[in-house]
Amino acid sequence: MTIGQRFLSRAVLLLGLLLTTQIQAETSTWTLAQLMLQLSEIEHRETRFTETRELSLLNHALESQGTLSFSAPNSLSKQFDPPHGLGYGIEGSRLTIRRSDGSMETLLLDHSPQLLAYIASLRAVLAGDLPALSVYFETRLKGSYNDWQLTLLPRESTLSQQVSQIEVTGQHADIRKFVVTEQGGDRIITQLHTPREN
Amino acid sequence: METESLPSFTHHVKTKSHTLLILWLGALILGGWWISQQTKLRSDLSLFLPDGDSFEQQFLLSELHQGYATRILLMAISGGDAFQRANLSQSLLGTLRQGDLFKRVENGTPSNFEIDSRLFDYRYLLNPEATFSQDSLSNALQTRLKELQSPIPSPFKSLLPRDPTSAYAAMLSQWQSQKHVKRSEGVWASRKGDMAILLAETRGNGLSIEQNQSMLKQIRVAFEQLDTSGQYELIISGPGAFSVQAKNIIERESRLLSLFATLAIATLLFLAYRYIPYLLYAALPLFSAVLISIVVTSWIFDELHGITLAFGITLLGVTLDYPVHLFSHIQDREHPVDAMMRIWRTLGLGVITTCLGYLVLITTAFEGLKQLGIFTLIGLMTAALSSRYLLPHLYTKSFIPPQHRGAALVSLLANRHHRLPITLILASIVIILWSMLSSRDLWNDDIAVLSPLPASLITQDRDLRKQLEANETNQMILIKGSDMEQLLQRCESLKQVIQTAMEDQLLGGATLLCDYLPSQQLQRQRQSRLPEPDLLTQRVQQSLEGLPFRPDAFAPFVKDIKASRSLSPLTYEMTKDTLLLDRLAPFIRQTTDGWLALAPLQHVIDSDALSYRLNKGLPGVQYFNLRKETSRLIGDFRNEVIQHVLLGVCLMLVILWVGLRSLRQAIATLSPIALAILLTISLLRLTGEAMNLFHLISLMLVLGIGIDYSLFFSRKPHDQIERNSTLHALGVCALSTISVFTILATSSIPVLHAIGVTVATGVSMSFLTTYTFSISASAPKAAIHR
Repeated sequence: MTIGQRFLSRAVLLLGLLLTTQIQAETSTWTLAQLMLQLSEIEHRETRFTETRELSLLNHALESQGTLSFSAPNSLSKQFDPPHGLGYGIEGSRLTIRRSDGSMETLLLDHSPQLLAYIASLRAVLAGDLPALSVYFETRLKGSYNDWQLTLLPRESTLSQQVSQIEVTGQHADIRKFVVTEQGGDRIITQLHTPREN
Repeated sequence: METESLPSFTHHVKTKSHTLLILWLGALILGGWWISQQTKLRSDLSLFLPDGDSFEQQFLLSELHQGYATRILLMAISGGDAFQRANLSQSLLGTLRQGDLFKRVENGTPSNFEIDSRLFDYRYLLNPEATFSQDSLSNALQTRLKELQSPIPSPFKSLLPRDPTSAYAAMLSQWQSQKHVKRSEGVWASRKGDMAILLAETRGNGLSIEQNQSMLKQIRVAFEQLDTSGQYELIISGPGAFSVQAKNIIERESRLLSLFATLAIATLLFLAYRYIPYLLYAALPLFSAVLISIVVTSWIFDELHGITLAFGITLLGVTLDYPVHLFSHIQDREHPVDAMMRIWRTLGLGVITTCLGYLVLITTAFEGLKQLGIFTLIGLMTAALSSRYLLPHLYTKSFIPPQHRGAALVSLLANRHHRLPITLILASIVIILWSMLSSRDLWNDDIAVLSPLPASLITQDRDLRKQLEANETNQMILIKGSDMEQLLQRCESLKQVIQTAMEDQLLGGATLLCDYLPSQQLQRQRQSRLPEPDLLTQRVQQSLEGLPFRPDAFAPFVKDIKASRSLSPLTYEMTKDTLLLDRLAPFIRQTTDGWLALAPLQHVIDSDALSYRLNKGLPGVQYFNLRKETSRLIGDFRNEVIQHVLLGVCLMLVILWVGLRSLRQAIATLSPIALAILLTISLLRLTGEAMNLFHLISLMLVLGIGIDYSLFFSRKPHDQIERNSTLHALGVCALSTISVFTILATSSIPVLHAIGVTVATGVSMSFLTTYTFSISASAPKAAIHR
């Protein structure tokens, strides 16, 4: 599907749901498609985040902070605060790493399942891009619009060898927490702070 | 008589036999159709390359033409800025990897890290850099901690408890090819930094031109879809791309050149006779010759080489002369059969001597030349016989032939130029002496000149390969061993020599088998150096002090080292189900008495010094400079051909002696051509045209044509009309041959250019010398007439 088609289908859905969204959001018929639609309405996000990594090898968790920004339909970047000072962003299927010394490097996402799990899945959720999400994950949605929990289970074997599941929690169109659980039990928790939406 | 053998036609009023014409044309069309259905053309160059006298040479030559290097395609993206090119390179990489066109595609970015469990188990035996001192363990753990703290996840994180020294990752990066290539924005770039470079390995060996064509098209389509702005350019280079480009260029040029050549001949024939049917009749023997040659040659050899066909047809162009001789000699109210009878003795003798020239090609030990010899021989005979026995019968009775045109030419030739002989001799002496003083090489034995590709494409490929420091295509080391273990040990001794040679800047590098798979001996040595479990545990514990790792984090590492100490070494057989096989297989061959390994070299700077070091004291190791080697082979081969040609010339002399019933006359016939050929070679040398095989064979054609001219010029005509007819025929023949081959000389395809230049020059010289000699020979007679 091209971006244009996606926008068109989204717009049609939006029109249809415009009147019923408020009511349906409170009822049990609230679906993943609706959540995705609501997420997709926010075209730009910029928010501070805290990333916590709980690794079985280490006796304490690692914590780092930074700023996350997203622009629909498919650009996401994370800029880490010093001491790391590095940032990476994905646009389309390319990952660009900017190091603190100013050097840049591009990588292809398709060939790096881990990066796919960590970044592309977050981007698909932020974009409300259900088709992209469904390519790699099975989805389970729990809760209500006010307090939801989305579980992503990897479909592909290369991905599932590394990642056991990803859990996204949020309220309304705000994503609060993004937790990647790896096969060895390591967890990477990205906590998103109060977003500034525009 | 021939006229009586066709009685059914004679009572018709018609002067032409339409039945014969229709039958002939019909046979040609049917034959042409059948051939286009049946004949399979070979297009590789190997038939036109020497075989090599030793097994190793044959092996290397076959590698050169069918091996790994021929499967590599290089792609270069230019335009935009470095970052944009890197992005495009990445996108193209992604698209090309998706399809099943290629075995692998690389652009310098780290590829998918595969974790091969068997190779992982053997990491401490395969990796030369594994050290386990207190210091190196401490350093390793600190580095690992930093990697864990970095926000970009390491692809080897899950292996960390078993491999804290990152031995597996080090091994993989060791194996990564093209480590030293310049990278810009993470992808390979040209040294100047103006192009992003990708490398692809095709799946099969020796893909057909059609397969290559569809592959190139898919790459182009993929690229155009990605490059929406159209501001980037993609160059695709490599043997696969060349075969397609060569085919396109050859097709385009041969279509264009043959169009121009046909136009030139048609115009000339029309100007010479102003009689349209002649245009068709002149072509009949030629087409018959080509047709029969194709059939017979493919029947004898089971296949036909594209070069044989193209070259052969060009050589057969001379058969146009046969009808021209006939047309010019038909006198008023004469039956064409009678005219043919008058000239047949001279024409036939010319044909037989020309055939002899090609007969000697059959005796050379060289498949391509044998084909060419047979092809031309059959064609010449077909054309001569059809000109003799069919062509005159297109007329059922005597007729009034069209008046010859070009009287100016004939009278120019008929005039006696008394100063011409002396001028020619003086000019010849000057030219020959001048060329002997030239320092230019007479022969060019470089294999590249035999390639059908324009030189600019070959230079482009060479430049691109240099950028990537891809393997030298014509220099290699060959390692022999009676078993794999001996081979690998020899490879390890070679490695030491290569390393010092690299330090001394003799070469950029070498791809050695033992870098991937060490000998069992070396693996055992490494095993014996692995630390005892207790000692290692102690060291790990000490290294962990002050670091946030859990105390038991690296227990799996100690366990793995312990297991490594008792592994039986990895053998070649055991690599067969690992990802090493893809790395090793292209360089290994099993032979009847053991194993052979190829070691491709990168960026050889001083091949003589390298050769000196490698060929002393390294048993089972041979260094080959294929360019030199093939040049030597081609040189040897050329000398062989020259010997055969000289033998052919002797045979020609004998035939002429018998045919002319006079040795003096036979020598007189050949000597102007000898001078013409000497002049041609001198002129070629002076214009900087180094000769190769194709020039040499073109000279054979010149020799044949020259003999024809010489015989006709020295023919005793019955009267002045007959004499003028002969001059007219020879003038038309020479002009048509020279114009066609001048057109050919403009070709960008080296082979066609070589033939064109040689024959155009050679025929001009032959005409000049035979004409001049005929003047001086008949001079006394002319004086009496006056």
